Amino acid sequence: MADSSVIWEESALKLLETRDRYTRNAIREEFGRDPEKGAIEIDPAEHSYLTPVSGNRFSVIWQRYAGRVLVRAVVPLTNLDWLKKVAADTKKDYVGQVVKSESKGEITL
Amino acid sequence: MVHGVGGHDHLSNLLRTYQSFRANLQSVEAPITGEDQIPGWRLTQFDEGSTPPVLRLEPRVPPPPGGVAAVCMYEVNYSSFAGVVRHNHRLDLTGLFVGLDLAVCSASQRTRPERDPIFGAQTADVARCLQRTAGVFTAGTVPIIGLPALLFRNYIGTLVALFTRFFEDIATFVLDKNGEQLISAHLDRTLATIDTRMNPGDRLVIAAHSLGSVVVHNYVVRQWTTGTARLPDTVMTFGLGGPTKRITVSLIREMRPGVVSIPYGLREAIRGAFSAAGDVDPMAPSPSYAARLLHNVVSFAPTLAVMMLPIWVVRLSGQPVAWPSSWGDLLSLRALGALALFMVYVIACAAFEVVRTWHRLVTLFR
Repeated sequence: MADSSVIWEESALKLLETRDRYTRNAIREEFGRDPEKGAIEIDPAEHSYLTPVSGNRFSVIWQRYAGRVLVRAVVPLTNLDWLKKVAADTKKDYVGQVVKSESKGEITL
Repeated sequence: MVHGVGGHDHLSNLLRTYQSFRANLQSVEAPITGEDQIPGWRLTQFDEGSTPPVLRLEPRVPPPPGGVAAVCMYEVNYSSFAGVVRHNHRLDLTGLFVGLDLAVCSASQRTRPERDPIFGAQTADVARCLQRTAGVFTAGTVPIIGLPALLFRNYIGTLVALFTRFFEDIATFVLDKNGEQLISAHLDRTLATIDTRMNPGDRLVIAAHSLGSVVVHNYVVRQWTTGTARLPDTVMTFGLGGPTKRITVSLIREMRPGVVSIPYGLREAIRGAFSAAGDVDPMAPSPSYAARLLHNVVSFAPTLAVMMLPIWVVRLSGQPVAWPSSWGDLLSLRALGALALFMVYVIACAAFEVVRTWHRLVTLFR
């Protein structure tokens, strides 16, 4: 999937702005190359996914929307092994809680 | 974290470990958050004044149920007083490695063909490999490297210091029983202090390297048997040290005549000529500077004789030998370059021998 099909929401860019320029570019470049690489489905109904980037140091939370990728948030979530094992509801709740906490309540999944 | 060698203070090593998680310490540029290996963790407490100093990290995002809610980093650092122990009771590294060489030599002569192989390898072959390694280490301590090292200390000082510190520190703990007791007592006290700061359900993880691995191993064995202190839940080690033996005259005299026993026979003959024959007296005062200098000069004589061989070959072939005619020739750029090349050659030989022996050992045990 090409980078042009990726749309970054304003709130996601705001979260990304808290990182330095090198990290910002690296995350955007890596995610844009292949958003589905290593992706974990977090909400089948909403078509929401989580893709680990930058050596599993950050996670990009995104949604498939009209054939495009809509990035909702970028968070330093690294408990991926645990996340893969838990039930869908727990997964959704946990990621939602993390995103809400990181964005100081601005983003709700 | 239990460190091994080094002359650092308590705070510097703890911070170095922490900083290496969060930035590239080798970079000359200012640290950036992009280098952070643990961006999901934030520093919530740093008490540099406590004993031992502590860093507390907590996850930026809420931990999952049963996940790690906080990590407290402490450091067990005995390097400064281990240095004092070592300084007060100096070890001669050449003697240390000659002792190891002699022990291996003697043991290899005692082996019999019917003896069970070690880990599937022939005992005699393993002994030969170990002896070669001991020989290389011994060569690494004699003036042949030491002399150029004085001139090029700015460039190889770290390597020489690492070599010396590593073996001296290991020996401080393994051979020096006073040092062992002091370091053990320090570790017991530090871990007892850390234990008072822990809550039920917390996990104690010890990461140790080089001498620290030996120290922690002894701690675990000691506490396992006495059961007086808390045992770690996890121990990670990054290297081990090993014991060696003193040089005993009886061991030399028991050796069968042969190639390997020649250096020891020669050693005793020379020591006898200087009225120094016999076992080392542990209570004897340290030899004077002049005695140590004489010892180094005599030790260097065989090496010097071999180094002169090319000159003798040139002379025998009838070619004139280009001796330096003045101090200017000796201290010229060309002479220093030749010395540097020679030193690189010697270090390369030693490195080659160590790698070759290691490869041989791996092949034997395969």
